[in-house]
Formats: sequence, structure tokens, C-alpha cells
Amino acid sequence: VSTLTERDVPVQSVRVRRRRYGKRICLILDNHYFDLDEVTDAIWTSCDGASSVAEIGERLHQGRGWALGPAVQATIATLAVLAREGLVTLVAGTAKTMEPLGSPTGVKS
Amino acid sequence: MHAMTTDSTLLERLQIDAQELLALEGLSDQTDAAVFLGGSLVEGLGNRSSDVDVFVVGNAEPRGENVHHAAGGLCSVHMLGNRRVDFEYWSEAVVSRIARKLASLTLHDEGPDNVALERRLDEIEICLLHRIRVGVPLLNEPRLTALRARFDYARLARFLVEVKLREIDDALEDLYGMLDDGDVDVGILRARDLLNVVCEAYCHHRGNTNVRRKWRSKILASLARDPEASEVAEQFWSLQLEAGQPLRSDREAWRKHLESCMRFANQVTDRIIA
Repeated sequence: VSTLTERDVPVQSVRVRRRRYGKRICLILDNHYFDLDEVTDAIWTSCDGASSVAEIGERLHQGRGWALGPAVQATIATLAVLAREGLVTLVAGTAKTMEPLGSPTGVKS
Repeated sequence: MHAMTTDSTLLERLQIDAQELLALEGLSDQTDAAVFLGGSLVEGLGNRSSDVDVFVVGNAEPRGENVHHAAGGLCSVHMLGNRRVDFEYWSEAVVSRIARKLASLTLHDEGPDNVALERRLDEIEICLLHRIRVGVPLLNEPRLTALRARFDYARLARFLVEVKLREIDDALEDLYGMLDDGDVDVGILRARDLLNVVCEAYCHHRGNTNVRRKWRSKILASLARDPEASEVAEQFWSLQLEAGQPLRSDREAWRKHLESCMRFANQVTDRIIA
């Protein structure tokens, strides 16, 4: 995944399960554990198979009081990592292409 | 005269005469124990063939002729008309041991006892705790109230959720492999296992501590007065009853069904651990 569009819809992989161990939140794919920070977890749980990238970014903006631009950028960057690791798949949208992906934080394998 | 404190409506509904019932074991208000009705009938889960379960917790011994050991307790079996009646006797020492176990239970895999989570409390111990929780007093009601106060039922429910989450993980991991290898029949049945365990996990998440698997759908139905539980119940039944034959003969339908079951499990566990 090199680019994402605002209208792309991220879908959680059915083979990924989210688990909480004390304060630690992980996604588990096969035997790989990915630690999530709070923001990444919020983005992950917003991947309901219906919400677009833009809508998830908007939710982050509303929920955390971040400016809309950085919220969407953080969403894009995070989803790129989740997609690269096989944790989400992206159903292609038709909106404008977003900026190339940065190097996100918040997902550690 | 016995100190009858029972919900008389329940006994009437069951067509049970309390005096006759207690007389089977010679129990009276002089009995040094909490005496209460437990089991499926008390919770509205059982049917006309269900046994009546009477619990006697404290310093009392069975008097019947048909007595057997039941994992830390004693069970005295009688017939009252056409109904079987089991009197379960549990000593103060056993109850204290279970109370200590529950209080010191670690709810994650690590822990001083280094025992697999699901083995840290036996099913029979959990059943006893649950029956104390939902029991209907027959004699010495204050003793039953005091007994209940010794157990942290929210903690018990959290423990049960943790155990079920591990069972869900086991089933999911099995299903990943079955999907990869196209193991059709086993996959269908394992997906049904998964649905059942998800149902149980959700009921425990909602605070229910009944671990009798046969009642899972009734317990879920009893929760389904709110929209969330109603939705879980609807999906549970829809996936449980998806037509079997097409799933066995149509590989794509089979794959989609297994993935739907896995997705359902993920959605429900997300709610549980949120």
C-alpha cells in the first residue's frame, strides 16, 4: 500500500484478534503480537468495515480534540502500517489520493 | 414449625410442598446450616423433568439412605412424587476453602500458583458459588445472606470471562488452520463450538455466573431485553442455524460461513474487552 484515499474503507482482517493484557492492548495475527497505543487502538476499533479513512480521521478529530488535518494524517499513517502488516485490508475508494505515507508510530511488533 | 422464608410462588409453581420437601432429610430451623433451593428451576431455566436441588451449607449431615460423594460435598437423593430431589451438603470448611481460592485468584496467566487459568477453580466449585448466589432460602435466610456476602461475584464473572476468552482463542486458532487446509466438516463443527463459547463469554461479561453449558441460549435470551444483547443473540442464532448441507458441498459458502463466525467472535470479544 503506497497511497490511501479518503474514501478507502479499511476492513479488519478476520484473522486478527484484539486482546487486553492488563493495560497492554495487542492485536494478534498468527503468532505475531502488535502492541497498540491508545490512538492506534481507537483507529483499529473504528475499522468497522463501513467507515472510510476520512470518517475515521474525523472521529479522531472529534474524540480527541485534534485539528482535523493532523487527525486525518495520523489515521492515514496508522492505517498504512496496519495494512502493511496484514491487520487490515483496504477496500478502494474513488476520492482524491492522499499524501504519501509517513512513518507512523503506535504499532510495534 | 419451620421458619419458612421461601418464595412461596416458586414452590407453588413447582407444585412442591416445602414441609414435605424438608422432611425428606429431617431438616428444620434447628438445622445448623443455610438451606436453600438452587439449580435450574430456581432460575427459570429448567423444565418439568428437572431435578429439584436443595443445598445445605454448614454443619449438617445427610440422613437419607442413598448418599454419594460429590467432589467435596455429599449428595442425598430422594424422590418426591415424580420428581427427583437432590440434597447437596457442603461443609463450612469446604466453603471457606473456595472463598479463599476466589479471593486470591489471579486473573491472568502468570501468578504464584502457575496453574492454567481454567484450572484455578473447579466447575463444581463455580456451580456451588453460583447456586449460593441465586438460591432461594428455605430455612435460615440470614445465613444464606451472610454466605453470599463472602464471595465477590463480580470477580467470579471476570474470571469466567478470562477463561472463555482463552477458549475463544483456541477455537479461532483451530479455525485458521481448518480454513487453510479446507477441513470442511471439522471446520463447521468447530465454528459452532466457537459460537457457543462466544455466547458464554458474553453472558459472563454481563455478570452471569452460571457455567452449565446447556443453558447458554436461555441465559442469552434472558439478557436480550437490551439492544446490544438482542443483537448478539440474533447473530448467534443466525450463524448457528445456517444451512448445513450447502456449507458441506459449497466450498465458498463454507469459507464465508467460517469467516462470519470468526468475525462475530471478534466483534463480541471487542465489546467484552473494551
